[in-house]
Amino acid sequence: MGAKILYDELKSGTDPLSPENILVFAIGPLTGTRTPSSGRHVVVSKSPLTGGIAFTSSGGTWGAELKRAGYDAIVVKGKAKKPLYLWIEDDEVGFRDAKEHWGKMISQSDEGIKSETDDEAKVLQIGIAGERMSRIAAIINEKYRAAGRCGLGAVMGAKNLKAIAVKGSRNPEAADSIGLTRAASRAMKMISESGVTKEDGGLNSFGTAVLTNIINASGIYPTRNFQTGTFSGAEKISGEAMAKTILKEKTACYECPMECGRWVKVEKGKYAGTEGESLEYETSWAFGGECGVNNLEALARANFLCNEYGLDTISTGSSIGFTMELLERGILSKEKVGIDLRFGNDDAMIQMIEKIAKREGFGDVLADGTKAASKKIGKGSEYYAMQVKGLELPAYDPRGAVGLGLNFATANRGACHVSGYTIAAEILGAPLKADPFDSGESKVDLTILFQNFTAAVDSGVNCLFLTFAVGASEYAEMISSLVGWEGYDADEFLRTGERIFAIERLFNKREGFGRKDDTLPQRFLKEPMPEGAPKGRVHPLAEMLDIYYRKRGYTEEGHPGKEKLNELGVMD
Amino acid sequence: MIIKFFANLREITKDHEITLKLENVKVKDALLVLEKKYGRDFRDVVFDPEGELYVRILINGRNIEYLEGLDTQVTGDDTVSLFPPVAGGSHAEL
Repeated sequence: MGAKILYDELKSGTDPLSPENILVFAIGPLTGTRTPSSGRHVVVSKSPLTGGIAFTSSGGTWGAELKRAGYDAIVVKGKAKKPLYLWIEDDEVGFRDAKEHWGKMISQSDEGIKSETDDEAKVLQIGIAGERMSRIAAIINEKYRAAGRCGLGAVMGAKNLKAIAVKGSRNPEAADSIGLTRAASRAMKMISESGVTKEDGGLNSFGTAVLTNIINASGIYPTRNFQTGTFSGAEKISGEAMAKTILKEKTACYECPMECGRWVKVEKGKYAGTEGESLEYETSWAFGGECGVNNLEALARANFLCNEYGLDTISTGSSIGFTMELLERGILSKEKVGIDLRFGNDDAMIQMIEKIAKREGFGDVLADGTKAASKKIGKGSEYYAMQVKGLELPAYDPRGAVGLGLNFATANRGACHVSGYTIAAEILGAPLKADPFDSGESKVDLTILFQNFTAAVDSGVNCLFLTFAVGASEYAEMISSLVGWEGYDADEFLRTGERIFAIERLFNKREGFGRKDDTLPQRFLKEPMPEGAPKGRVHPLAEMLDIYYRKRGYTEEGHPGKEKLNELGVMD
Repeated sequence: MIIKFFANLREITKDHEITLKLENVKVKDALLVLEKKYGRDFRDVVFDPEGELYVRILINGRNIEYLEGLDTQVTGDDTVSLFPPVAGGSHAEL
């Protein structure tokens, strides 16, 4: 829905930070229902980080609350003359002055807005980073959850929209209530039987950071800005280590049996007082392996600050790791950066997060991400900016998981792992198995399958972690019972995803994107992995891309072909 | 050879990492040695009730599924990593 609104209504060439940009907060048919893990919401806009289509999602309960208030989407256009926030209580909708909350830390403004509206309201908001239009600013909900990627916090900031607070009192209805109960029960049973998603399974016991050790053992844990794929400090910052140290309790989103969230507390030392929901795998990597830091408490602090200032943890950590490598190579000097930002220096890393959020000193250069920063720095620094289409890479080195590398190159929002998480098959072996080094036709098929499946799940709007246990037919069953579509099956569900992916591509085509943008950082194409299982390997992107376009029915330029669009029922 | 255990497996082994003095054996032989050391519980985690391998076994970071499976040769210099289905063991089909 968000992609379609953007494609239909946004004029090409629109400045993402201008009043003309459109910002869509959307939920899906699954949101807020009895289906498992259905508390997510999605934000769609033109990204100030990439210049292309952006969708970014977040968990918690805000999406469910919006459904209970009776809405499927909020479409924001224009720009307010002064900072405002939106307060929605069922049918009562209005803007309020946000002056008191502008410039405050997220936890303060969350409490402040609730005190002005309702203690039980769910607050989604930007922090100082979004207010200052950092192109890596996140949109935070309920203090600890982030729609982080692609810098959409800056779009809210550009519109002077501080927050959206929601409270709803309606129960969502289903077209076929009995069918929904049956479908949800079936999905719940599968979740309870999977080693990943069941109670005391991998995600429940150790959170998403359960991935740290297996990704590191596989030799694809990006270390010191992707210079290698093996980090000697991985064990110290793993989900296993967290469970024995700073973990206080497990937390869950709306209607979620997995409880993969972590509530952590640092009791002593220089980071004492750090407390909150924290340290997903990607975040612990972004400040861990990426920055060469093996101090779990420092990572918790970094995560805490990103939440409080409203920054995307992946892009923030990557921007800092990028700077660390430039310092190491002498492209930047300590004097220029202002602090001793070398790999492993957790104090300097923490300081730089605050500087980025406030756009202070060198933080102002990094506040717009690595692509923009490398343009300002010059001196060949572009090579060390680990981004695709402007979006910084997450926590997997594509040289040792080539299907994911193809996804990084072709995903419409840039280097995004959750657009086609082939790690599930290539490393984890679920629900399919695939050799991570294989780059043949079947691997291209796998990437396309994951991309289509994911686009449909995201549009549903649901948590991707469920897909370790639940497949397309279960999703189709849940959606058809909610919406009342007869004959909507797994094939149609995947076709839905293929159609969404094509519409996003058409949006990007109109903005000038094409084959030149479906690429990877040169490091992965030129530098063989120095150690570990993928030692000696580069990513075979060139040989995979032609196959990918052909199988997708796209032109050599990477645009959906006429025949494919006709087949999907999409008008160009 | 070095054997590493991860996630819930550590509840059974109590060890994170051990060294086995074995030379040029197959993975299945090494697993028998480990079963003898850690008992029946270890076997029940490594194999499912049908006797199929349930954990992921990496040799120097490479999954044995893409080597010779349980017949893969392991030398004294190798690192063998055992992961329970931290993200796996699904019955779903895409």
